[in-house]
Amino acid sequence: MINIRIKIIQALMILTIFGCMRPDDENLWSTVVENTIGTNGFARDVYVQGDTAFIAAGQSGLQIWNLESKTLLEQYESFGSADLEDVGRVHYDSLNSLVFIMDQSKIMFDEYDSTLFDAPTPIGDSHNEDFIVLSETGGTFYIYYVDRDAGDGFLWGQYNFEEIPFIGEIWQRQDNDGQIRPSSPMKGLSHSGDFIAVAGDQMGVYLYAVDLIGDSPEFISRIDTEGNAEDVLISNNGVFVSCDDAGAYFIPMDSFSGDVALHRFADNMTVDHIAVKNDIASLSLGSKGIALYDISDPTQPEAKGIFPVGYTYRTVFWKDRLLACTREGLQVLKIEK
Amino acid sequence: MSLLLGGTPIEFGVSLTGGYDNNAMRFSIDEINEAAQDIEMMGGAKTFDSFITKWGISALKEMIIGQKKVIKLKGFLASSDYINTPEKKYWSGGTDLTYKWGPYRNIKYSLRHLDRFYLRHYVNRDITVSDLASCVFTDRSHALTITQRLSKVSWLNLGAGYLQRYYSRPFTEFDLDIVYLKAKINYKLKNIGSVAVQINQGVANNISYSSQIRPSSFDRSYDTMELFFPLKINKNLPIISEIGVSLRAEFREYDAEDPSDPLHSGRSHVDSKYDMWVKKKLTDEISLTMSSRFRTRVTESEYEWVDDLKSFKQFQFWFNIEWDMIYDKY
Repeated sequence: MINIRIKIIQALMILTIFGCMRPDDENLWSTVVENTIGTNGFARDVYVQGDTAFIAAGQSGLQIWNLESKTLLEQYESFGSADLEDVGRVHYDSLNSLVFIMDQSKIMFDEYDSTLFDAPTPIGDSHNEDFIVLSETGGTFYIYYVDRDAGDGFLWGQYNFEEIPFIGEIWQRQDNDGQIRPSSPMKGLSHSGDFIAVAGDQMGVYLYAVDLIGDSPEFISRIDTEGNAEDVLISNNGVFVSCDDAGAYFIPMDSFSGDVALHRFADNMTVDHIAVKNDIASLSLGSKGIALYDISDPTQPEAKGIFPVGYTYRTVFWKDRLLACTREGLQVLKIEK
Repeated sequence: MSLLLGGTPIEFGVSLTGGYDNNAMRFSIDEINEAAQDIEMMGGAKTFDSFITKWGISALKEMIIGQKKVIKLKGFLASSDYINTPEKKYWSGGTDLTYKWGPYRNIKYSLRHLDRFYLRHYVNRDITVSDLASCVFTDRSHALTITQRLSKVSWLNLGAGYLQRYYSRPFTEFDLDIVYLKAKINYKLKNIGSVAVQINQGVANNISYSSQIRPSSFDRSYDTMELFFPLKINKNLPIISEIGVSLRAEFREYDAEDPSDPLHSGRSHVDSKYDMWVKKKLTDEISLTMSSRFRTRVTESEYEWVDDLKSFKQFQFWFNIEWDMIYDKY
């Protein structure tokens, strides 16, 4: 009798222990907001130099923060006697110590010193959408910029720091500038190695060759995409394209010179911007926040989660963190795989 | 005193059931209207209703271990197929191990499994904003029940259970561990049948909930109480062998109080199931049962759209034939 009871109890224990289930694992990634830098205005863009973040803070102008100490170093809401108008892009040229911003009126730059934006140098007009600045030696930089006015299109120019009689040393635009007028607005730019890619709105994505920095871009090919190509990013082996409400594409470099292979993903999302580091792609989705993808195989991006961190314009990788430019400010995110 | 493994025969049962469900995916009226515009909500189904076939087998072995002392081991397996809802095909099974030391005196361990039960298609908000995926869950339940005679006409069941309701990818955010207590008082009605009152009280813990930033990160934990009133008449009936009615009502209240989660915050519902059945024993071995269920879930929330979204009505009808057999190798 005792044996039977023991056996029954043993059987029950075995059934109970081994009868329990284990939940499925969706293998998604997670994010943790480690810090939010309040910028008052919408954080629209950020450029990071070391631990210093140059933040395009919309109607709060340009803000410069130390990311480690989380302290605001400087803030600029005007240039000369005029107010900055909704600063949307920012770049810092460390070689020449120049800060570039783009607001609703134009692109402008000035030396990053105590007189920053007292008398900035303007570039372009009020329809600019994006710019990239390249420099190899001190005293010279090259700027490529695009315009949503199809009549202006894709423009570039060289600036040298020169002595001008009776004026002194200033940044002077050289005569070797150029322009390509496409049949559609141009929205975004990316440079890597010998290539510049341009997001051409309804026309898709253009790829140009630039053998030497400062050369005029040589057209290679254009590939059409669904929706409107809003932004581009050249990665190691291809081009990521943000196509607004048509999602995103990865286009291998080979496609621009041979058989076209388009790899579409996030096709039910509104993708405004893509940032990539190693095997992670961070997609900015506007009101939906961000979406992360595993791009170990970029031809088959694997969805790893949508994260509603607030209305997100762009993201930038900084060290092992992700900086999200949102309407709530600049959010420092840790990605946990 | 010995365990008479071979002392009793094994009893087998085979059953075949045909049925009809007028709302197989439990759509609310609003969702039915919405599905008319967006057919993908229905997965592979073309209709809201479905015919159902179900077969089942069961086996019972009793082992006599002494005077009035018996160990019972029962197992069953069933497979269901919703013919007009292609995703809804599942099997269920279970086993009961009972130690009985007298009439209405026993202790029973029950293990139940419901495998990949399809609910409907939902948007997988973790990785998309509009793509639908089938929502499927699996139940595994352990329960221990003690039965004690109270009088010549009444007896009491007291039990506790642990139910794991785990969803398949990509809806693991719904995973629940449910712990419940159960009490049931049964009365024999002389020359009529029996009646019972049962109350279940449980707590569901949404184990996959975390404060992570995800569109699906909502706390779906809830408290639940269920009342069950069955009335069975099986004495002095003409033509039929048994007739019964029952009411099962679940009162559920979600824990969530986050205003950013209007779907669950402050939500509660009453899920009522009205059952009726008629059974006819054709022979000692073969019986026919006709049954029906009317189910209604009434949701209450601060938001009218949530009330409309989560309330539904459902009607089911079943016809079952069962054949009991005995296998005795001696």
